[in-house]
Amino acid sequence: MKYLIICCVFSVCLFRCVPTPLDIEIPEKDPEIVVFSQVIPNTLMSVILTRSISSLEFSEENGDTITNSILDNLLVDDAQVSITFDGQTESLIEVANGFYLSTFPLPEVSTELTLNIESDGKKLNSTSLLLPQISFEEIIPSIERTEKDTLVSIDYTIQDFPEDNWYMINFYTQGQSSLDSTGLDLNSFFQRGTNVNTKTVVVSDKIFEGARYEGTIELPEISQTDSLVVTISNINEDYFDYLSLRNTSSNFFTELTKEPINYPTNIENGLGFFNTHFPDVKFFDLNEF
Amino acid sequence: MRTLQLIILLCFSTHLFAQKITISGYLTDGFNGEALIYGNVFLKNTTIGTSSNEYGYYSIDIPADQDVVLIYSYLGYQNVEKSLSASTDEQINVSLTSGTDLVEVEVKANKITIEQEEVRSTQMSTVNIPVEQIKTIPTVGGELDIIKVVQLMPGVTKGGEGTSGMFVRGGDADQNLVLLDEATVYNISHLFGFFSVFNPDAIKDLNLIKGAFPAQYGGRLSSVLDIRMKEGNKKKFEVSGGLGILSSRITLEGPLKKDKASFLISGRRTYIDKVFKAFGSFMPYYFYDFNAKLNYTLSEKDRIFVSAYFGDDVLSLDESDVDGEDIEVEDEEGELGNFGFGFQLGNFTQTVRWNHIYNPKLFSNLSLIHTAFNYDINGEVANNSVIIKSAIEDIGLKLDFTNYQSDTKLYKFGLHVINHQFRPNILSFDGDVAAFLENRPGDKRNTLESAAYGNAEYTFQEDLKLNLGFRLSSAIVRDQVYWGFEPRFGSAYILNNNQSFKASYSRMYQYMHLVSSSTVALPTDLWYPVSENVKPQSSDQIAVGYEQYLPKEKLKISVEAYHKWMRNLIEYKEGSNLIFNDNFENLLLQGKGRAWGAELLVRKSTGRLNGWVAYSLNWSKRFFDELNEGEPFFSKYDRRHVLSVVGNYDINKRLTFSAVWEYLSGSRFTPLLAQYIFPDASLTNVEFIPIYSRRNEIQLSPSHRLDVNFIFKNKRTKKFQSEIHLGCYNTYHRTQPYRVSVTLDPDTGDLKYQQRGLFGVIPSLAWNFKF
Repeated sequence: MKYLIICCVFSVCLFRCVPTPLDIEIPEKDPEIVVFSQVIPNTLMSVILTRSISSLEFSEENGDTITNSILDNLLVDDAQVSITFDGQTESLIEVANGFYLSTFPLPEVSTELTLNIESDGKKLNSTSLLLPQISFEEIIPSIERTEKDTLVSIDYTIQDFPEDNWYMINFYTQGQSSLDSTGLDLNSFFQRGTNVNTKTVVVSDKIFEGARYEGTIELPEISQTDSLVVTISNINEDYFDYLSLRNTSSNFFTELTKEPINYPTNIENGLGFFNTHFPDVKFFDLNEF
Repeated sequence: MRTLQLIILLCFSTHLFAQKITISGYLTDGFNGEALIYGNVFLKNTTIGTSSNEYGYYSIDIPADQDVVLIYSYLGYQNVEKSLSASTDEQINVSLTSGTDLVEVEVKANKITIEQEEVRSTQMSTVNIPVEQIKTIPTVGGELDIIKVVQLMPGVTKGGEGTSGMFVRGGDADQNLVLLDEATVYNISHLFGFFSVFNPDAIKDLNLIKGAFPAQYGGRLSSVLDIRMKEGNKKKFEVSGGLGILSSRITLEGPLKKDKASFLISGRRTYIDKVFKAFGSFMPYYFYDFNAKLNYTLSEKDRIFVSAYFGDDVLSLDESDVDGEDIEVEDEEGELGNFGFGFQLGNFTQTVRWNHIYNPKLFSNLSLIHTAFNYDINGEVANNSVIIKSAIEDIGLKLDFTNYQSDTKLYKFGLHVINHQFRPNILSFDGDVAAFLENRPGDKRNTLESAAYGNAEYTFQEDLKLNLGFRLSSAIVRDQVYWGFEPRFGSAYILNNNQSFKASYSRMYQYMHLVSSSTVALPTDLWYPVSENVKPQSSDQIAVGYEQYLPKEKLKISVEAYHKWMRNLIEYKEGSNLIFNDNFENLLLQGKGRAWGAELLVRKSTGRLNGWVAYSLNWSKRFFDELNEGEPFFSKYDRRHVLSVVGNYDINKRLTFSAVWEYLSGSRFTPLLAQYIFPDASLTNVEFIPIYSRRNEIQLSPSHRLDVNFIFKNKRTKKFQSEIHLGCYNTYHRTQPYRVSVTLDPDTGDLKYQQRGLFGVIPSLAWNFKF
């Protein structure tokens, strides 16, 4: 028995003694240019260019955080960016590191736009229609107040456009501070860090039974003093696929077990999205409901 | 028409040229009355012979009214010769006495050994492993794990360190049919794969079939592992057991009615939780299992067997388990809640079998089978609770007949019907977590799987044997019926008693699959049936081989090459969430697979030095339109080279040394190569988006390991036998890859990819006894 106990002690000690891990050589992946674009209706198009980084340059698991120096290294500041539409090509100017802005009037909706980027000898391009703006036909918040909670649900109706469409609906909340005497302030509402995204819903019109779609979305954890902003955008199919995949695979619970995934892009020879949508925005002060 | 008549005549004619009688009976172990499976019965000075079946039954034709000698033999047992001159059919039950621990039985002239009979048989791609022959093999914790032994055979590769997953001839983990006394075992491992559920003290024999599948087997594409429990000592009451570092076990067996009825009860429990706790560590986990068997000889013609297995894995963690202090978790409103997590995995099989001998040439077995597997996971954090349940339950009937038509014709036919009831992923959430996870009732699904089969084995002119079979299988699921016609073919061209060439072809259908993540092995992997949208998997496999037995060296050499085509294999869409989901059909993709390779097995089953060398060279590819941009990719466990060397050496009568050396090429994985930042949909934050390599593009480093074991036996007395196993797992402390991680190099400050192992060198001590 004595020997058994000694052996148990010895074994448990050795259980904790793990041999030196084996190194694995992973081929380095050349940085790719990542495109993000945004449209301000009838005014501007902005394009932000960044680079991908090796998985061994940055690891959140190992405590790395995004610093300004990392961000500066990621931004692509020497690119030639232009947009071609209706047979003409217009250049975008770089207004800050990696941030490019149009100086020309944007064409009418449903015009085909081609984004051209040249940097470090690489050529990227992407083509997308300037998508028409979609609006809610009707949207009504309803609030159920209990002693402990305030349950907000949103009933909305969309009048679907012809042909295939994909829609993105975002819900934002903001505290009392964004309210002033004249109501909600759009500029302060969308300042990064002050607004809170409560929920994002993407929906394909393939599930619509007719041209008109009625939906209801519940928004938990909204206090009755909050203001609420709901935006709807008509997005392209690639971006819809991307967001759908992000919704299903970025869940905390599934991070461990999900199948590896390479997300889609609509950029040829690059990553990211040439997005040409713009939202319709609805504001609600929930105190009024 | 004449050809048809000739075939019918060939098939069903008996005793056309000579008057013959049939000698039949059971071949048993003289010490305990256990049936001897696949023992040899031969007519002296001829090559006419037969083998005992899974119940020890044999039937052989001999010339009537002539003096003949029948030789009965079994590996490690003394031969028995019976001289007889009979004019009518007779039943002769023969008991063999074991030699001294795999003693080398002298090869006498005019006697076909078991190895030679294997060479002469049409069966190929098959390995039979009597448990008594592998009890000395070193293992973690000093307790024999039969699945780990199977993983040392050619054509079988394993997953990560310590896991019980088997990947046979380029197949997937769910393509192996594991039978315990004919009941399907759905979960073959305890402790996340580190122990198999099979208690070695309760197991008699196992048969691994990787190709050339006999027609009575079906339902999986890649392998059948047919495991038989002991029947229980019919001669005397016996107690055996063992004390190990991680678990202990005890087995009671004995006659209920001498030579008529016997029982076996075997139990095992790990105390890994207690061991860890005693040394200040924490492991809120244990498992136990229980085997029982009863058998009763009703008459010379009827025998009944009742066997059962029950096992549980239990993990239970609550606030009192950590440092003896309560854990209370603050929720967002600052309120305190409790913490708890647990899971329970349960395996349960029951089989009732009735052997009946209609006449000396017709043997039948009727099996009634019940199998259940379920898991239950529950978690509680603050005001949130999660409950996940899943279950599968089978009720089935198998009716098998063996017709020993003549020395040159053996027919097998039968009918199998099994109803599977699936309850995949019953999900229940409460609290805040319920806002983004949906409760699901776990849709109940029934699948009725049935098969009829026939198999005929012919011997032509003593040098050519053919095995022709078919299996007509079907699965009825809701409004859909699937049929599968599964032809089977095996052949042996016998050069002489020691050499043969073999070839085989098998088609297999599989009507269920395992929902499991490719990234991490979880106990929550669950079985899911075919449906209207999910088609059955199927395969075609061809194999050719050469077998040679070297009588002087007592070595059997087997070389085989195979090619397997697989259809409707299962993979999951990229980014799929498999845990909190019961609608797997939307996540499934079906594609093709192809595997090919070669295997070598050199095996010496007797002698002071015995063991085997197994080598396999494998390729395994997958073809899915929706994955890897439609390009073919290697399967995850596409290990190019797998080599294992297993040796046992009896240093003297009381001391045995055993060693296993294993080499495996690395498995494959899909690493994260790069990442980029991108705004989220609301433009309120940025996210890191991963960029992975092509699917399974990177091959991990190879691994190799040496395990050793010394067995000290006490002086054998009639009353008490004991042995001490002193072993060492991973003797030279080499990393056995378990997972891949990104770590910081302390020297350079750079991040790098590393393969980590779970354990280094692990000594083991176990004491086994029998009285």
